[in-house]
Amino acid sequence: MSAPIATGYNFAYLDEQTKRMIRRAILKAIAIPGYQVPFASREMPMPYGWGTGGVQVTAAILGPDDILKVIDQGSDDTTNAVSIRRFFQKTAGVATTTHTSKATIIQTRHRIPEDAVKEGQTIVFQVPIPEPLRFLEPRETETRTMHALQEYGLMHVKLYEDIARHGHIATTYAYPVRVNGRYLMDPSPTPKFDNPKMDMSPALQLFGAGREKRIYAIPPYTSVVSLDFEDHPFERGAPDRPCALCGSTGVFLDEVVTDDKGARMFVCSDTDFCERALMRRTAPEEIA
Amino acid sequence: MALAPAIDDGARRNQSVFRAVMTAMAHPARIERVGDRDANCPLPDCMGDLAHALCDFETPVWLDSALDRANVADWLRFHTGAPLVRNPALAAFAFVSDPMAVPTLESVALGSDAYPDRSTTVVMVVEVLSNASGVTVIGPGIQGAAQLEIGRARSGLWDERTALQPLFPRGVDFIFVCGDSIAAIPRSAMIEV
Amino acid sequence: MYVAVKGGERAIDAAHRLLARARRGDRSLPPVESAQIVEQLTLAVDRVMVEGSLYDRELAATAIKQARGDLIEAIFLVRAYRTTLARFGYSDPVETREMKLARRISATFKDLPGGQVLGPTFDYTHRLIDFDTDEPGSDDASPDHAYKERAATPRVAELLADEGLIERPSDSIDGPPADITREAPTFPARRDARLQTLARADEGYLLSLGYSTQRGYGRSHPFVGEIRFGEVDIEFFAEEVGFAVPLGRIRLTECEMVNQFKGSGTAPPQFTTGYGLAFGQSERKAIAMALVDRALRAQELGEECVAPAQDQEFVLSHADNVQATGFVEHLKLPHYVDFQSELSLVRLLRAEFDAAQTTLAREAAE
Repeated sequence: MSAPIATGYNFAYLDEQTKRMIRRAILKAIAIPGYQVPFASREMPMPYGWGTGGVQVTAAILGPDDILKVIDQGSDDTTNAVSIRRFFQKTAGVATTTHTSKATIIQTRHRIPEDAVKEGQTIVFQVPIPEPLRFLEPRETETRTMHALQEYGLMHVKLYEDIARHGHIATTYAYPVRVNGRYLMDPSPTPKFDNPKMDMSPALQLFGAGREKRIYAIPPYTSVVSLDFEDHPFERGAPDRPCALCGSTGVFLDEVVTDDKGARMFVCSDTDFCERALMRRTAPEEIA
Repeated sequence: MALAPAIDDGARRNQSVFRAVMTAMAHPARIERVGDRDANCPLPDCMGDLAHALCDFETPVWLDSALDRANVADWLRFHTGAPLVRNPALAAFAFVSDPMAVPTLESVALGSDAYPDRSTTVVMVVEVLSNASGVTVIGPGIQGAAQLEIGRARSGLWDERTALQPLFPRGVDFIFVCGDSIAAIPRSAMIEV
Repeated sequence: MYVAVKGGERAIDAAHRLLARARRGDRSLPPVESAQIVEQLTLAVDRVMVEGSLYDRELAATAIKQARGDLIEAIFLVRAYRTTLARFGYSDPVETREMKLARRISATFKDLPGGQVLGPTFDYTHRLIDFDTDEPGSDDASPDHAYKERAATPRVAELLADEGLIERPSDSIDGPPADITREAPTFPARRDARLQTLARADEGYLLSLGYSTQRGYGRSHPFVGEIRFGEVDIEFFAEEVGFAVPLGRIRLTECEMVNQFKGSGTAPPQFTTGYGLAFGQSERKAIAMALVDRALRAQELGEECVAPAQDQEFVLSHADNVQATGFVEHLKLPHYVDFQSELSLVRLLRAEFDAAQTTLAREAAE
């Protein structure tokens, strides 16, 4: 805890009453897996849509002994991840890490780390649109009723229309899941490649949508099933090649355009995983 | 009356108590410790620490008759600002110090199908918390099955609780308190007596 | 050889240094002082206060300066500050009847108690750019406009109400007023929650929605009953002492719109109303707000809801410019991962499409 803590604000920025309100919402979210709990989201000193929901959830759970990892698109060094990590260094003086295994809280936008998470860790997802049915039915009053009655036929119809038109389910990220056999849930815009990691995960998964004022959760060891059909089972869409940097296979890859003549290379989206895989390959003795 | 000072470094204390509750809720039946209790609080066991961490002017609180005393009400009002209500169905939190006197689950709020979160959380002192015997608990947060023993409780409590299971997502979340230990049974947990 | 992109931290620092330099502009010119913004860019300050939901002229001016004159950015700064302030409660209702008026006009009556007071207004100015505004002495001739202490001035709606010709709002609501900063919205929203949302709504958004009602998308036959601007006292009932404590005086603009009458065989015909209220001199905002408030009352008044401005969920969910700008501008953030997922799918579909075309062509040739 060597970073200077900003004075004039409460620990982790939010006032205690706000934290209590968010904490209560988190407890309800855990008790009702996949249900979107409305909460009185506050204005944060960063724009809506840039992680205010995730930041509020992290600020509400974070303690001085936590070790925080922040990633965006799988990387600790993307600008918004840097900005959010700095925010917590400044307002909470909290220790940070890029190592998935060392973190107690991992705030993420659009990815789940490649390294397996473990019990006791909490993943906090930043969510833009928490309602999986929103693009099929824009009205909150309608979608709330659909959830109450478990009327999820609309989503199945949509996925089936994809198959009819394209031969495949044309949803590749924010791929809808069913949590604990009850609620239809938006996993946030993670690639569907990451969906299986949510199922029976030993970590607690919390989701914060600041602008839309919703918090939801998947407790550890909870069934998370990607929607599919018997004749069109869920396909994870794993990349068919290894990372061009570290050689890892079975990981999600970013495409990097290397010139204007069509040259491409594919590298790990999880940069911390990639770096350590590379070190293991080139200098295995340096890895503890 | 003289009111005791608030817990030192309230923000930090609230955070660690909340994390214990969050972990307990995420792992039903698992026993968590909230650490040093606030000795000046008239609420039994670590119930006051939970009240401090979770309650404020937005959370109506119901007290069982053994708690319905002036010094408890004063402490709650001063330290949390929570309004007290006579009807447990209007309470966000019901504080129960006598496990034999826990209100019937028909009388507390279960939330609605559209807003299942609008329910009462029952915080209840129990004589014992143990995973060696008791009811069997399965569901989200539990690998396989767990057991939880809470000692004496009003007869019919577990039957009422299992009767709520088909109503999910409506339901009641329990936080059991014993000394500085807590365990939770959220509504998602399935109980076998 | 390619390595993973690093340096986000340094890039951010450098970008913020560049921003500071750009904000200051040409250093041979004196910097703008916040006090000058308070006095000379009054209407910008007013807009930042009303949409920032915080009455503090100096803070709004500082925010405008920090935001390089980007008012939505300034509003955002004010909101982010406001959210850290402790909430003590809510004031007693302000009595706009007692307003110390600087301006008051009615479009419904030629003359009326309290009179027509033109006050400081752009109305009837010819919009010709004055190339002399920077000349010394160009503004010496302006008389002071005072906020007049005068006897209570009845509102136009009260005059009509004496004859029973206009609906009057009920005096009380059930329980404490809504606080949209403390509760997630629910639909249908109560009118107090709707009015709060409209008060902090983006002025341009309300303007366009209000305009749409005038062009027939939810027409409500509006007349400006009156618009008044001036100072009102604001008081807070303190439980500890048992009486209302004056907090100070704020400037407000209020618009009461007289709209489409209704009535039936059993209910007497009466005009309906729409209401607008904003900090400072914010007439466009107050009028537009009154139009949209009236449009949003369609359901309770038994009118058919057909127009965008009458749709509560649509209007209220998209009214906040801090929310809107955040989400629209978040498209600038990296989306490599979602895009990669989409790209892989499109490549796959494309390959399947091409293969099918080839098969078709071969079959045709055979």
